[in-house]
Amino acid sequence: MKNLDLIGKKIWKLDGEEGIQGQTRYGTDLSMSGMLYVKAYRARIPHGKLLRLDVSKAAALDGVSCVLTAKDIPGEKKFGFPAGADQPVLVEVGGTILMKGDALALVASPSLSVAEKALSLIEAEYEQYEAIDDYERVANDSSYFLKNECSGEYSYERGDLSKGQAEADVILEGSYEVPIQEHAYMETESGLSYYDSKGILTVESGTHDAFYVRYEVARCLGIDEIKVRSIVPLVGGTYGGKQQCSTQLHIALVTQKTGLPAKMVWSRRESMLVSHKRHPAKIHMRMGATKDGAITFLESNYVMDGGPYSTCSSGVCYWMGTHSAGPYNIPNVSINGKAVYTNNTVGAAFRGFGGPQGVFPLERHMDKMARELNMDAQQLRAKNYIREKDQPACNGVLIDTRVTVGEALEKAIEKLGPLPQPSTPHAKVGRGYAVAMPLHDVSSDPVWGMGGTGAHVEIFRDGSIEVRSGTCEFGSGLDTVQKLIISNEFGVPMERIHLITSDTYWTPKVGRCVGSKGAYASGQALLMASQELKERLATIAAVHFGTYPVIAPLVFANERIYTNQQKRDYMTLAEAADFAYRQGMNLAADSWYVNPNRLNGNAFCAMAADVEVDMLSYETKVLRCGYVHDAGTIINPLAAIGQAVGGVTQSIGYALTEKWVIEKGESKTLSFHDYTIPTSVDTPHIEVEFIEEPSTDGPYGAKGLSEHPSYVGAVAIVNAVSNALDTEFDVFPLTPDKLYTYLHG
Amino acid sequence: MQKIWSGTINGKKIEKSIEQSMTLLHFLRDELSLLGTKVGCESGDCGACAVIIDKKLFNSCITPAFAVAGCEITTIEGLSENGQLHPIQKALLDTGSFQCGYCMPGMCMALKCAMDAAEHNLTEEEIREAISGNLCRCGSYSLVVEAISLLQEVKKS
Repeated sequence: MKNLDLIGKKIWKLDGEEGIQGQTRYGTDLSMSGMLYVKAYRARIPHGKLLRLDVSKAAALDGVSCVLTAKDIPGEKKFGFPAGADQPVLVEVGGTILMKGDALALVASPSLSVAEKALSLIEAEYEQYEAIDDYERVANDSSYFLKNECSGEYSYERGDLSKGQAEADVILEGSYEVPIQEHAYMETESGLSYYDSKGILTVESGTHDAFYVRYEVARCLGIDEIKVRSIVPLVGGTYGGKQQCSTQLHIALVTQKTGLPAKMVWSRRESMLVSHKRHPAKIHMRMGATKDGAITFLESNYVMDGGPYSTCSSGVCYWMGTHSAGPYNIPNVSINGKAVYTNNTVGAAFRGFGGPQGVFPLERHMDKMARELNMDAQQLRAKNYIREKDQPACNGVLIDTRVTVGEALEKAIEKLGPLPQPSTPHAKVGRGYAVAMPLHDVSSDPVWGMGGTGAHVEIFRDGSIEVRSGTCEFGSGLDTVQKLIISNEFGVPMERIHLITSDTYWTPKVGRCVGSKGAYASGQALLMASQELKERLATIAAVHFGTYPVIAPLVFANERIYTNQQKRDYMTLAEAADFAYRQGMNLAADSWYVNPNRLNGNAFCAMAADVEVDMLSYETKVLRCGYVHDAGTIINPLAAIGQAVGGVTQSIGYALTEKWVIEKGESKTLSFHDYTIPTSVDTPHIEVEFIEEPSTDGPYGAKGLSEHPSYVGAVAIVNAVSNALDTEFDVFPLTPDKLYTYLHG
Repeated sequence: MQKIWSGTINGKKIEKSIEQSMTLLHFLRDELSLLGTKVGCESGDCGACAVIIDKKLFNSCITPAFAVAGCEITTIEGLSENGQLHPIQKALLDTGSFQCGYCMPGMCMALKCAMDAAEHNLTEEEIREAISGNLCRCGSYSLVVEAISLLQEVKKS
């Protein structure tokens, strides 16, 4: 039941008051006495054999506690999730370097400056190989490869392409390219490890999944998982980027070797060099339509660059495929894609997880098709939207809720008002938009071990409530939402609820917090545990009111249990809990929610944007954005608005300024002045509206929320620039130099 | 080489012997445990480490501690008084600007600095300008602008 007093009210983020005063301790802020600083010596080449590694001078340096190389790893020497452990913790002598920045050795010292100095004393010798950097060639030329396999594949067919072609009056082809995007979280990768008082090796680090870290650390150290504790402090941003191990294995190795606490914080340069990126992709698309705008077929072939390690390329490649046909009912569809191995940056999860790469070519192509047909682009979309009983293409599931995509786009465009006049004679303005329908939920895929979510709720004798949940908080407001749910269920104020999260010692396991599923899955687990407790409380109330064995429905409010809606007869929650205590009844409940193998509700979304391009400087400014999202019931509007506005802002950077330069496996843009993410002056006012069409199976009718702006944001802006300049832009980011070259060759 | 640093931090006289080459950021964090000033890039690009020095905004990661000896320095720990949130902080929380929160201490210092220096209410453009050196990857900028605009409206009425 939705208690209107709380759900949907603007509630400050739980950690907000502390955090905004600078009191929050992120991974970078952690320290312990006697702690060692750990630094990694990294490969200077993107591809080659490590012939020799001399750490003797570093080890001999005064103040160095230890220097570790691959031969010091007692357990598994490779790690990686989920496809397979294929990334070396440290590359061994004689082993192959596959990425610039691969770690070769670790140094540890109580002094950071000594550790840094020791790094400069390490000598490495390589046999350098040609960098395999052209991912399109890898896909097409069997003699050119890094590993003779793919890191991801997607294939979907339905209907009959030749039939669709025969029915088409217009067939349109296009080639598209989607760039790398760097996560650029403000807190770089960091971690602290130590032995606790019981001899358990403890790692505190920013990630999406404390349990995954525990697993990898135990494997690497060659010890049982019960000997490892993993804690996730508040994370200073991740957006998918901190899913894999970064510092964790390195610090744990040092602690195991020395018995001392060890801390590692990546420098910004190191973070940008080594961290995972949004996969770049190249797409070739063919689409056919009748004169009146019915799409008869869609064919898309794509290749993604997954870099040298598999990580979650299989999932990202799959998700890109599932987003390739969008919210359209297309009878004949053929989608084929793969992710390949190269010596470029590692492609992995980034907000949207392949969705943005799938939506971009389609929504560009829809605009071009509309022009080809001499039709309004919104009308062309509307003509082809999927309807309630339709079966979506691309392995999607349409859950039985209203299809709100058309409404979302109309509202998004409405928010912009009339297209403004150019502000100068040498400027051009344009409007663009895009829609999306996330169709498949990778986070529920049992293969990834993410299908189950646990929760533990316990009512104490005084009526206060302890909640344990394995989820992580990295800015999305998930902690707040979880407390809100329990508060709503039991009518207990937030301050009388204690929430323990992301500590493998105390919290039940959850499948990692990804895929916009945190509030959805943990919310359901909390509701299940709450329901069980309420049933026990109902028995207590029946005894209390003398009606037993007749058990009346109860109302939970004001820390009381009422037997009727009029709220007359009640016992306090504390009285009931005290009764349970004295009778030896258990008021703790554990739940295990198995995610359905489908999406977190079909959270349709749309974005519209107005842009102005200065034809002297070739700079593009986003003037206004309207973003409308059917996220189901909004549990906390303050968290929801942040996710929407934030996703749009990241998309502005993706579309216009974030140009990652990599040549022959050597990334060049390793700082914020080379890789320019949006600032306050690059970001316009972003108007957001939520359509609250409840989902059938989310908590209180909630749907997925966080990733969706990334699906539509960049392509809406590129569509707008294309309209402004009457030129089809099929690549981005549209930096001034790219715009100029595109227009003038 | 160690040398005695003296100056005022958050209204308190500080005298401490530190390495002469130390940045203000590391002085604040490592020597004084003022961990609210965040490490983001250590190259002056992101503003997570912004502090106010004699009424001007500085990125402490590229400011040598001894360059500002004798000055009056305010960090995020000096913004709220007696545990009470500063109106800027409250306004930011009210609009949902606080997401991962890592940039927020620096953002608060930039806003405080600009609002103190201005003799009038900041325009939307001026608010954007004030925080243009503070990167926020969660992308809260437009919520920050809304927060400060609302705060100024409340003050005016």
